[in-house]
Amino acid sequence: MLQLILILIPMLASLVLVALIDDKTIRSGYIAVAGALASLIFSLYYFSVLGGGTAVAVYSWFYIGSFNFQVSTLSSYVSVFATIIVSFISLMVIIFSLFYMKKEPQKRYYAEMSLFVFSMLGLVISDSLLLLYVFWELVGISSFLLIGFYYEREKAAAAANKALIMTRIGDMALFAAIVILFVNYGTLSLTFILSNLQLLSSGMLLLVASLVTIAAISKSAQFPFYPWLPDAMEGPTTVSALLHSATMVAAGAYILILLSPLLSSAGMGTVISVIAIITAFIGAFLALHVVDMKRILAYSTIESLSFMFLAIGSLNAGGALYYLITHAIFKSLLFLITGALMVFFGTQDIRKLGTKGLQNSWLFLPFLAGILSLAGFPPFMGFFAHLTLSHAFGVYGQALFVVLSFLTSLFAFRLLFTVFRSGALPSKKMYYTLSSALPIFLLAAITLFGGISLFYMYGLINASYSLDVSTLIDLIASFVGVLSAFWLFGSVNRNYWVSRLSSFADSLSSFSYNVILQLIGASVVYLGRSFADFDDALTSFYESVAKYSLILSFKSRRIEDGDVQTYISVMLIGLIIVLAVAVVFL
Amino acid sequence: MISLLYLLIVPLLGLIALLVNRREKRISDMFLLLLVFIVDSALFFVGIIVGFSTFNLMLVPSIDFAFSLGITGISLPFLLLAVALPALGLVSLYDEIKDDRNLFSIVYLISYLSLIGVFVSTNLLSFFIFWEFILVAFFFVIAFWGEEERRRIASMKFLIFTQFGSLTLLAAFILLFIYTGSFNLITIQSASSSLPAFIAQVCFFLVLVTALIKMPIFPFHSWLPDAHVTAPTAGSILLAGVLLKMGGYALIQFGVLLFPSVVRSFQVPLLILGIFTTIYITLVASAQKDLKKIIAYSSIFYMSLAFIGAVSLSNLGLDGAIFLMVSHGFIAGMLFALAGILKEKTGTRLINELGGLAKNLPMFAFFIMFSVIATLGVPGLSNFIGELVVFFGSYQVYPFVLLALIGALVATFYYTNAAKLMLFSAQNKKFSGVTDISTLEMLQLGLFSVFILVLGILPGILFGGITL
Repeated sequence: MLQLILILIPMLASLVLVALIDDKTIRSGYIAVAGALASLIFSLYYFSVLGGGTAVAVYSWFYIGSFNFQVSTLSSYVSVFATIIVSFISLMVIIFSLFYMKKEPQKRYYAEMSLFVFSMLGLVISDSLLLLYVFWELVGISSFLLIGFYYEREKAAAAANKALIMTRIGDMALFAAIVILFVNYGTLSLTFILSNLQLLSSGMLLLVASLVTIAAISKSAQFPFYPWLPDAMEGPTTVSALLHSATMVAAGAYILILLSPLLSSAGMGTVISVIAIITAFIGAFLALHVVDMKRILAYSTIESLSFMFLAIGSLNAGGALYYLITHAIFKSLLFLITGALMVFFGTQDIRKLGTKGLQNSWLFLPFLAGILSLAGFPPFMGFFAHLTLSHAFGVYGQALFVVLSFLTSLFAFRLLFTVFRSGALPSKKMYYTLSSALPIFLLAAITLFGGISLFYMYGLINASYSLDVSTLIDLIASFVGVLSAFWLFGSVNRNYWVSRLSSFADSLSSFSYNVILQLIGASVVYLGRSFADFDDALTSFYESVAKYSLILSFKSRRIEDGDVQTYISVMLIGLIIVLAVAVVFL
Repeated sequence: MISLLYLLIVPLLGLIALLVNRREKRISDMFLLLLVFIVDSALFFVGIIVGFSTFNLMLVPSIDFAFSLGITGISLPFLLLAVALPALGLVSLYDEIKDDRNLFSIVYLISYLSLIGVFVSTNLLSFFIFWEFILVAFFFVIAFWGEEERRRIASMKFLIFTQFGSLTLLAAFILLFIYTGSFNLITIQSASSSLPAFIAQVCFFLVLVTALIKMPIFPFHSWLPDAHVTAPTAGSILLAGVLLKMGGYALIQFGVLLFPSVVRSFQVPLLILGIFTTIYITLVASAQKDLKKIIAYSSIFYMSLAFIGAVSLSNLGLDGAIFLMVSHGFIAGMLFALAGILKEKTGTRLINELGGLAKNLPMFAFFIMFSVIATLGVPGLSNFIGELVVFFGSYQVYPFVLLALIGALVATFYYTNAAKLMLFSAQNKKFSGVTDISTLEMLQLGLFSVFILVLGILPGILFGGITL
């Protein structure tokens, strides 16, 4: 029996150590690197000893009476590949952090990062929904903490809250789904639930599937929840690279991959596909519109995540997983390069970066690799990922995917052509250190050569691929995208077309979704205010009752003024009345 | 075996020592309190391991008035709160109470003794005497040591509301005595099912009124925020941490466990009342500006979740309700301790007047974030288990309880917003000279965190497993 729990322990140890050890004596970063490295080694070890099939390890957490609350971990190719990719990207990003976060408070950063890696690894090996929910929430909380890392910035603090509240809607949906499943099955083991789906009535099945889908789209920033992700770019760029592109936001897609039998028997595929297509177009257009490099990548992440959801919607869980892995690699690569540029030039505005003559820099080729992979060109990993996606789409899906491929390579190459303009010599500031160059070159190399892995992996993760005419159309569309991007944003600036395009994107974003969100927020505040007013009214009602009873008691106190004569006369009057009444009625 | 009597004798000795100390000061009052708490907690934890023995002393046989102590199925978790929270509040007492600390310590110790007495009494009359002691002691806590402006009104309001709740409880006890001839809880438990249906209903509703006032549940909650805002920090810790739980204890012990059939026939209205309270109270909380009020209102949210669990009449729901109350006792205690520290450091608790405190007070910010995250029910910390089990238990009874999750969402909204306004964004220059929490406060908050963490990770230690 594989004890997958071992994978988690290094990160937990690193969390505790970083929290306890004084920052001045030992670099917290090295502890975190060691933790991530150990997790990666364990993951690779489990992969090497993993025979086919799946194994579930059950642990008992606590008892209530005779009822056993169990948690279980799952070792299958899906979960082990996920642990490898999570611990690998974490290792790369944490190494890069040694370079990027030099000037920041180390202790808090590495403690929060360790907490995140621990939770994310826990999430991907969970078999019981209880354990999954535990880590799901911890991932959300560490994301909240890391987005708000620069807490003295108003924007960062606001973005952290926005992200937490929006994803919390999904958390509550998942919580509700777990409660429903628990009451119906008496267990929360996914393997058990998924193999006994027929026990649920179809209405219940649909309810649970919808709740899980809400949870997934909120975590993965799909429509209508996407606005938290671009705002989350207020966190450190390393955090964006690890959490808000490669791993944490993919958790939503990951649980849908795990639960795909549930989705297919509930018939949720079409709904998910529609959400994904809406999100993909929004993401692609907004990526074309904004000039903040991190935000471009954020919108691109939203679009890529919707590719995973598109695959899940077309019941191609394996393809979604392969795209998830590929995306994690090339997107974290792009983010790390952005981080390096921010360190060197102190800006993330692509127009300013475009004046720095970056085309001759050591970052150009890795960045090109990332962009080509994003746009799905061979022989980069993204191309193979596109192969596993597109074969499962129907005709409409194929057509839309071609349009999306065009848009993707348009905004990807707009980014490339704007930032890496030819011209001046690279700035002297662009030194490289081991901790900055190693992750970037390693990720770039995997992006270039990693595509081969598809031919090894597709059987294991239940993916398939096809090379046919649609692949060719897809590629042509991407290539047209490159040409258009070159024509629009290349060395000669076509101001007319660029302004037309950006005015279109402006109109898209002026249908500002944020307005709706603010409206919702304002109405909650208004509701709270009016309820509070009502509550105050209730309080003053009680107080006035108390006041009047006090007045009444003052008035009635006069009766007992201690004057014996009054007492006697009142008694006499009373006696007379009683007698009179008795006489009259008897 | 540890006799339960010892748990009461130790604070009694402490009281005598404090009274002697009042005339001629020999040792520090704080030291005496600390000694009492340490010895009593030690006795309690030894008792958990080796077991508690009961105590019985018949006082007035004609009305079955006995001084009898024992552990019932649900009292241990509550006893943990009663033993641990006053000890944890000691630092706040030391920080905040400046005038006549000796008298405050006496009142504090009387509440401590009575709290333990409430949860270990198995005779309803001795239970009621302890119950009344606390109310009177707390009236003085608010009236004498409360914040200047509101303390008259708040203490009167507290007294009138809770006294009314006590009277209904007493009425229920007397009715039970008339029909069963006993004030002994165990006798009543075995006889309760043979009560006439109408009497059972009357008894249950009398207990219900007590619980609605004490927990509190809408519409009888309006004494609580006032009492909290006015009370000194150590008082707030006891109030939210244990006093509210007395209402929950009464509901479960004398309501749900004695009259399950009555609960069953009124279950849906009761659950709807609980669900309504969760949503209502979180919305009210979202509009508050005073940190103490926010915490006070959201205490009601967790108490109404516990109410839902208790009236769901399922084993899991009851277990979850008790767990949630214990967990919330520690979390609310921690939050109130933090609110007290905040007031002491900055002179205000209005969240919109603060800002950027995390820069100067990193440890304070850490503990605020920890308790906020704990209160929001994040796994690994204690509230999560309570909420989860309450929902597991109550969903099967009435699926609409899931609507209470809306309350949890609103709570996320206002708690994170409060944290942001207080701790994050730009620093308010007014507070740039404020220093971080002291070692003593760190110890207090650290102990709170340990309880919250341990209950969250090893919840099994608290679940006795109730069977209806």
